[in-house]
Amino acid sequence: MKTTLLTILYVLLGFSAYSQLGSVTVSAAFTTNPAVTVGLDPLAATEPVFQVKVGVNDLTQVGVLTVKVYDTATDNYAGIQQFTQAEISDGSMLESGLLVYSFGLLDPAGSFRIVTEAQNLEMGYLEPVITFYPIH
Amino acid sequence: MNFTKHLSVLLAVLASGTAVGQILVPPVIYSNADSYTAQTPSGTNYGSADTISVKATTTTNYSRGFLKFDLSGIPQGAVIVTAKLRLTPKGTENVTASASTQLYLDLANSTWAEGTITHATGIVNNPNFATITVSNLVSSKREFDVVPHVQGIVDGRVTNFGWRIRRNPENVISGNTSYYSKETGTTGNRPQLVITYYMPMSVSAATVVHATSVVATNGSITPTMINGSSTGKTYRWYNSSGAQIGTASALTGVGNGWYGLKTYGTTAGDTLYTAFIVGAECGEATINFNPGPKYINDAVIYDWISGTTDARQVNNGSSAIISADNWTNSSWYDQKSLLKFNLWMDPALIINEATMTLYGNSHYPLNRPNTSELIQITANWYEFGVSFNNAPATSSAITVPMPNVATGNTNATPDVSAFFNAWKANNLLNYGMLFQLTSYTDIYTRQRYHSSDAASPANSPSVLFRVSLPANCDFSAHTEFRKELDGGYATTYQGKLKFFFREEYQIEIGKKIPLTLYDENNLVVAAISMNGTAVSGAPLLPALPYVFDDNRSSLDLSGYGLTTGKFYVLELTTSIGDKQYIKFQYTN
Repeated sequence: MKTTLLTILYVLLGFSAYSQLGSVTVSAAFTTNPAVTVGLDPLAATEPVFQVKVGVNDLTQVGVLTVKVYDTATDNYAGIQQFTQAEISDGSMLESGLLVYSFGLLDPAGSFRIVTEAQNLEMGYLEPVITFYPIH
Repeated sequence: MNFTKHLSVLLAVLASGTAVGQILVPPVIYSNADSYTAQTPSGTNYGSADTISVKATTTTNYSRGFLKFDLSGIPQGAVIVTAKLRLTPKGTENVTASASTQLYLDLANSTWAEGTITHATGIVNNPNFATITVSNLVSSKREFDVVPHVQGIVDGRVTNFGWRIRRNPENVISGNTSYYSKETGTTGNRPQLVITYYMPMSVSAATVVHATSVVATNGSITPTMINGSSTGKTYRWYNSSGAQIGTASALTGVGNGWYGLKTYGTTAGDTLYTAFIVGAECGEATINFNPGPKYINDAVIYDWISGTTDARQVNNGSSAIISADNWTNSSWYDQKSLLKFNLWMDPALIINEATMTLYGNSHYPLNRPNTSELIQITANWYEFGVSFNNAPATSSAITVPMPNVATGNTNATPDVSAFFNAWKANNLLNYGMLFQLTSYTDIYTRQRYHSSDAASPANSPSVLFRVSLPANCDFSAHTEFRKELDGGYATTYQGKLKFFFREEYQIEIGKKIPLTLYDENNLVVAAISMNGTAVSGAPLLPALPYVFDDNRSSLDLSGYGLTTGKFYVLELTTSIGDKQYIKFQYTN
């Protein structure tokens, strides 16, 4: 009986863990003519844009996602964007299951630090994910 | 150090002035509002609690702290040297002592009140200022380095809504972390902000002695420096080629041209670059002032909001462009640019030309002309402190048009003499110029140039000056005596007539040139004999030595009551009795 109860508890905890926002992965690169053009001015679309792709384990559990891009040389921000659950569930930023956002007017020769902050539905922050471009 | 002692230090500094430079240590600033919020119960206010709780109690329930400090005592323009936000743990902190990343500190992004703030109020962070992610336990206090945040508030780039402190991460259960709030009885345990700062160094006055000719090297520059981080300052003088030519507080023994002065104090970053122009008497100096980024302050200010991005708070002092731009980046933005040459010009200099060269960088009059203008900035600003939110005041009293330029990289060469004429009259009012479109109507266009931070120094803004000094030089030639007068005439310069004749015979030593001066009515005004004596009772002319062969002299006629503009005749009687004449118009 005790074993059965523990098994049920583990299963419930497992479901609970699975339904929580847990892992965030981030990649970034310059690209031209991106498939997802959210964040881009139509006139800038022919120039190289800085595209950040974010993968999360469960998109429905994201309260707010913040992507901050800092110029490594000056530590000034080069672009910041936040997305709410409503904007994410809209689907317009999705490409192969990843959230995609493009920042225009950045110098492809520059170096950048990308800080991605995910908040769960209760707006609690997860550990931020820090990524560098070019990759360190 | 207690409050009274801090205050006495501050008052002593203020009483003595900051003219010599000093790091100022204002009293410790204690929080004037603090509280914490809990995700559950989200509607409860804890403003009267004597603690600030920061923790994650479940994977979805957490507490955050909020703190405010009054920074109005720190003057705008101050350079923040240190700014430590310090919290006193109450009980076991449950945070790594050194280099902890378990607590994150953000600037709050909207107003809140101690007595009403709750989780439901929804105070979020200001994403435009980086989160402070590292803290240390120093002398039993949790300490965050908040220099960038305080600098942004003091600059006026961002409104002071205080700070938000949270656990990192908030979805992992942590131990309880509590800090004393301002309600605690022991003052020293209250949240505190400890700041040191100095006022930026500047030149308050300068004495420039110009070279006495275009080839002379007897000019000098003696500036007076104020403020900065230390009383002791180091001076480094450079010529226009960048070679160091002096280390004293004054520069001497220089010819016409521009000279750069680097002055720095004992604190990193406390450095001022100022250029000076030395002119030349009796000549026009042509000076290509192409000083590069050190002697130029320029920055783009950016009126753009897109989502949570608020570029109005952001400084772009290191931008490689100066731009007048009306474009979109998701949403419409306006860009203007500030440009200041850190150049001290002696008011005595006459500016015959001041032509600025701006090197084009991707002009694009897409849907309308990019017609722009340069106007005068009338208030102080700092290259690495200015943003749209704290942009300085301007005046169109001086306006230099920047006509439409076609798509591409065409350079501009506006005449900026009106600006420099105004600034040389009072160098302390040289706040630079604002480059902007003549209208911002959300129709695509832009005019854009390389800034002083351009990758190629050759593309940095520059000014070609031609400067001179008030006429104080005699450029007149020696006029030769003639045996007969014709229609020609000479002129005096400052009352002096320079003449020339050749004597073919040996002249006894000590003889004087025999001269007689006549007015328009042929009446004798003054005269002198070969022996140096008066002639027929007329006033005596100056005695000039009479020699064999070449006689060149300057005759000072300023003491004989001659009338400016009137014509006179000077008569020479040679050693053999010949008469020769010069007709001249008198000026003094």
